[in-house]
Amino acid sequence: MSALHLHPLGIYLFGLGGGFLLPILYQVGKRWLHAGFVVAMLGMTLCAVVPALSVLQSGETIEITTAGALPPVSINLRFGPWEAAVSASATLAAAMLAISFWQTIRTKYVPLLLFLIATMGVNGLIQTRDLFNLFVFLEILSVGTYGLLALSTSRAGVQAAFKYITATMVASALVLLGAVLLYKATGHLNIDLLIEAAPPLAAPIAGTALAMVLAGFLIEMKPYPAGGWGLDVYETAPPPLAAFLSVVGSAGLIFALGKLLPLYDQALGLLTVGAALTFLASNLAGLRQQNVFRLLGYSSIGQMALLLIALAVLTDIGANEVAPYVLFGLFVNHLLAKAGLFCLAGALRARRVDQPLSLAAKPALALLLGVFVVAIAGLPPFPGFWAKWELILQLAEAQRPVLIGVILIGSLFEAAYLFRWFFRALGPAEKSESEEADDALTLQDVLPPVGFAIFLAIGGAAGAMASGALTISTVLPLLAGAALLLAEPLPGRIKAVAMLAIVAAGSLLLPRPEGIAGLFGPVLLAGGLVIAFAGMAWPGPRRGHYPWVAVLLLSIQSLLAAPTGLAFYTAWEFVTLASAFLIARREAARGEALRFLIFSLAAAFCLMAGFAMIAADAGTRSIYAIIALGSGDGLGVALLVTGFLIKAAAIGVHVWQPGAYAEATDDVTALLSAVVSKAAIFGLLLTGYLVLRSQMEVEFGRTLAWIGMATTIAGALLALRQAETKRLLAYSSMSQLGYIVTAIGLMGHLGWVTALYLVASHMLVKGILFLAVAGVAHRTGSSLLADAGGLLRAMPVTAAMVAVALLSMSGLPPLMGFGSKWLLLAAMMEKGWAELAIAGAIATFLGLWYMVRLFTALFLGPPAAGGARGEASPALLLPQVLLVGGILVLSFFPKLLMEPVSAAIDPEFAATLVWQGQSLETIYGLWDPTPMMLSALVAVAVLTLLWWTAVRDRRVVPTARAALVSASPLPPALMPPLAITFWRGVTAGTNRVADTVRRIYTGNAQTYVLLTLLYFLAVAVALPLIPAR
Amino acid sequence: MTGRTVHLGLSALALAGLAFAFSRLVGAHVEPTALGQLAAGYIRLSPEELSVPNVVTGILLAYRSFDTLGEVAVLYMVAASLGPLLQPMDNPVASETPRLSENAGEIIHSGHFALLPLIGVFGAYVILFGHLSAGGGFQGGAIIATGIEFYMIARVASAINVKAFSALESGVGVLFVAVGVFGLVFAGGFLDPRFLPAGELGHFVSGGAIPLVSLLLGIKVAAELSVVLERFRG
Amino acid sequence: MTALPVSTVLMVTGFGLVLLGYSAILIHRNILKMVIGFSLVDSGIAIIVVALGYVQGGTAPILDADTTAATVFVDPINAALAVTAIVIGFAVTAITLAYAIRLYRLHGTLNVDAFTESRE
Repeated sequence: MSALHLHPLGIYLFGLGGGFLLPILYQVGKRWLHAGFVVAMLGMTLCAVVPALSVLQSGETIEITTAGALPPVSINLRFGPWEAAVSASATLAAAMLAISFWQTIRTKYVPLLLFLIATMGVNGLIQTRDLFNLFVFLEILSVGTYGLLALSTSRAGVQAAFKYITATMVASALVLLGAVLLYKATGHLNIDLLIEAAPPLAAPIAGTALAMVLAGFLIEMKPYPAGGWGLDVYETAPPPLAAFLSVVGSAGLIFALGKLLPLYDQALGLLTVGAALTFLASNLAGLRQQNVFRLLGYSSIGQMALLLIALAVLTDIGANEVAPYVLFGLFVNHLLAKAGLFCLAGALRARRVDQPLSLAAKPALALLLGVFVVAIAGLPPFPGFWAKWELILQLAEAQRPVLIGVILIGSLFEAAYLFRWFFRALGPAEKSESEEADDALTLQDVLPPVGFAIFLAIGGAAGAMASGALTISTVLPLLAGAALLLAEPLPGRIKAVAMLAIVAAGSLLLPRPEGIAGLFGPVLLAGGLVIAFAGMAWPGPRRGHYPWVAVLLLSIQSLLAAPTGLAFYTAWEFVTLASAFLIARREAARGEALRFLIFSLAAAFCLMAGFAMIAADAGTRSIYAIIALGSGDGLGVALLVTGFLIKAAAIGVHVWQPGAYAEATDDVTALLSAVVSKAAIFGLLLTGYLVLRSQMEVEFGRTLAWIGMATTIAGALLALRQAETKRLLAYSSMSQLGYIVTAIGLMGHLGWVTALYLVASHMLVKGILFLAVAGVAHRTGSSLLADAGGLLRAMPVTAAMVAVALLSMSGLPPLMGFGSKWLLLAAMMEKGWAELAIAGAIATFLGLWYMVRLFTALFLGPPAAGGARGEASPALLLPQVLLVGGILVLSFFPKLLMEPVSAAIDPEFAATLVWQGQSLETIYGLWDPTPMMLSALVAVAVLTLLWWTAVRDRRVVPTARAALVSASPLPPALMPPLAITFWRGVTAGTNRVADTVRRIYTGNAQTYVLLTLLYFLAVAVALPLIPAR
Repeated sequence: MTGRTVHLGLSALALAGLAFAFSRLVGAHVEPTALGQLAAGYIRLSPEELSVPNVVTGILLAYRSFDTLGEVAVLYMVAASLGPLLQPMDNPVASETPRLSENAGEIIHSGHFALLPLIGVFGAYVILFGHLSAGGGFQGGAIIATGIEFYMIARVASAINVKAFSALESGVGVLFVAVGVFGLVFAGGFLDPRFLPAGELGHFVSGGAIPLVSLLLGIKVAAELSVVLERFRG
Repeated sequence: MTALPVSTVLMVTGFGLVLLGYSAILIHRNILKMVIGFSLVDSGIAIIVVALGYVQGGTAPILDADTTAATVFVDPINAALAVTAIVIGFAVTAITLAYAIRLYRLHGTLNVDAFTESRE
């Protein structure tokens, strides 16, 4: 053994040797000091990373003995795969943080040597196999931290350091006493021998000793409610130091706890409960936190608790195969993303959560911050996502639904406060130019975060590979987005063309969806491309628009062809993120983007839990796992349906939708309504279809149908009340999706054919309408119904397009809307759901009403003041013409759609369902539509007549028109905003709980000492009570 | 009920809980009549392998010297941290504590001439004979530092050359690590003191590098403690 | 009744000091008294560590001329651990005192209730 090779022992030589040398080098000269630090830090990093690579490659553990004697006589260290992975990443992170820290610590030698030795201390915590030595390294880390905290010179900073010291002194006293008592009880200090001796938790000395050690290390990890002192330091310390504590220090602490875990194999449940409490409480409290660094502190504590939950549960259920992948995934995700967040927030001088940082004007920084926030929120493509997915699946397999709930709810809170900060940070800062100049970032500010982001991307790819998700379906949308990101300097219209070409070409490379999905695929792709073409109507570079549109459209294709739950979910999250970022491009839309994202993530987490439970019950992770489900247990399916309904804006959970649609850029709204909403419909349809093919005996069709119908009616009523075109159309979209949900709820061939028909119809219609009102808004400068009027002359083509769309949507013959409505009514009658059919008829009437209202308000009557200056731009009109073409073709040649629909649905039924052998045409002809057709034609005639009079006679119409435009179907008192009131209540309630949760953190050092002591007592009381297995 | 009452009430609860836990420990304690296996092993090994009759020193400076290295690091970090920590701040509210009288008094002043050499010799003895009899680097270093503190008290106006002391402790620290590496290269492992001949049990020159380590430790601890004391003196 | 074993007496003393220390930390609002409390805890722990290593009738684990095969030693490990614990305790106390001085310079008070700027 020679020190010349890179050996983990070198970490200690460089750490201590370097640390001891620095003061001497400082006397020689500052350059020497800096060179010495760089050499020592680099040497430490290399001595951790290079041997780690070889250990991980060979799987062979490096055992390090000291003093030339064997353990237990001497202290030994271990550098196995686990130690290697954690040591190497922690040391590397420390080295990168040193770059961020450089400006602060370079002038004196003390912080430099403290940083060096503290990093070494973390390595010792990870590698030592001696309990008392563990205490010594704990103290090295602690004392190093105490010294480094001298860098916080504000009042709050010095106070925080004092609180930190007092609390950690309690913790280390517990560890010390526990270690010595354990030696007394067992005769061992060597951890391996201690584990072998398995001291009983209930024995008076050994049990108390174990409780002391456990509580000591738990307290070091700042558990709720004994972790307030940690938050104070995160809030006040220089950001790179906070980052060091949050990621490097925590790495050592959790590893130390992890290696002692075999001593507590009966207390894993207790650990899980404690960590779950911390995870939930931290993220809950984070919701109310205004200081960015304290917020990151709450998030850090939460992330460490999540890691602890995973550690305890995976050990408990013996999931040894996936444990490394889950634990290291979660660990490295937090390590990189949180370090990046702290550094970036520090560099940007972020203080308060609601403080805008002008990031929208600095796209590279926005991207960087976005990467970290997405990673911490556990979203793809970063390592935490893959790990969390596997963790949830393991929890489902182990029948821990409550824990799944806790993790997902906590994650939702965390995502909520991080994205709230992110969206706020995008906004323009109120700063003078001189201040802006002061804020110029240096290389040291930017380099580490960029490095962390790159490692995150690499880690994400590795995680995807490990979970078998590194397929073209996952990678291609991102690559397309990245390619367009590189093309950002080009002019907007060139990027638009490039995006369309890339999406079109990319879709050819993606696996072709089959069956029902095969029908959605081409329809949504074609519709998406046509609508996205309208982007040409917007001048300027449109930074950040085209990459996300490409990700969005390609991810939808990936989603449709997904073979596994994971592939589906990954694509689903890409769609969610791309949509949210597209909405958030408009400054005014960011509040709505946040709401959109929170509801979308809630939906996504329902899906995740649902998939996990289904996969656990069915024993397969295929997207078709539902088929393998037995009878009973419908919770998984219920969660899936809930998730899809949230995204389909079903009644009650629709509140995210109108605002997001109204505030997003017009072409984005068109995409969201016409194309993106269909992903939820596809999921719902697939679920329904699979349930029918399974042995399950759940009857949720009727409920679903009624939810759909209620959504339809409520959406229509709300649409009638809107004064703004886009809001009106947003509610109309909700209403129309309700029809589709109803159709799916029919749980039969006819209903699903209808649903698919409606999907195509709604896509075409909403594409036209949103683009048309975009054209109107472009020309009139307003989206208020009251500001428009008489546009028929100025914008005849747009009027014609809207007329066709309206007719089609209203379910009037002869256009395709009629066919779909007719099919729906027929299907309801077939099922004998007459009440539903009647409700459907009412809804159709309401739909007709608001559509006529829209048309009248925009195009009829006298031209409004200001008026339009001409027809909409060709870039907006061309997609509309194409979509109208689609309507006409499908109306007059329904077979073009019906045949593929039959082909898609029939073979899938052939296998398991007895179908009565009727072809679609016979079903279509089951009832004679003639009377209906005739009455509808009469209605059209009346409408046309009205229209003509309106155009002709300018004197009579204004009153009638005004009455129509301003009419309300029901007095407001009869339509209380129940959903909004409910969700406001939920928010207020959550905030109140959050305030209560964090009130315990009084900021008083004595309170914190008291809480740490009580925490120990709680552990000591609980530990022996756990029954031995 | 005010926050303070709640605090005191819960504090009483916590203290009662601790007292109960401690009384359980004391109650379960049985005074052993023989050493455990590991401890007995040390009693056998220290003289045999290291030629060090003081088993505690054998453990501290050889078998568990990795701990010792760590605790040296802790002390070193604290001595270094006190400099920036006790530096005058930019934004103080309270003025510096008033200086004590320049004159330490006749007894102390005269006493320190007599006592300092004795303290120094005693400290050196404890350091150098730590491998043979009760003592060692830490203990001796602390004794010497006591002498230096005495000196500071006796000569209020005197200044300790912190720079020199810091350089001393740093240099000695580097040597300590170097000794560790010597063990790695020339003996059985990092910090193995047996790269020097073991000598005869009970002789002054014995125990491999242990007396050397003890000396380094003594100097280092004395220097560090002195720096700590001087920093507090302001 | 026989007298209490010496190690038990020591343990009671040690744990008593620890309790006394924590009482000071929890009750006294002056942070210097809190630091003294921590110091008491450290001392208590050191005494406990030594007490736990006591063997009935044992002598210091130093071999000398009087040592015979029948000599009983106390546990040398505890002594070694106690040295380490004492040194670390000293170091931490020093740094805590330094922070107390810093706090006093910044606030002009040593009352712990004044140091609650960061909270919740």
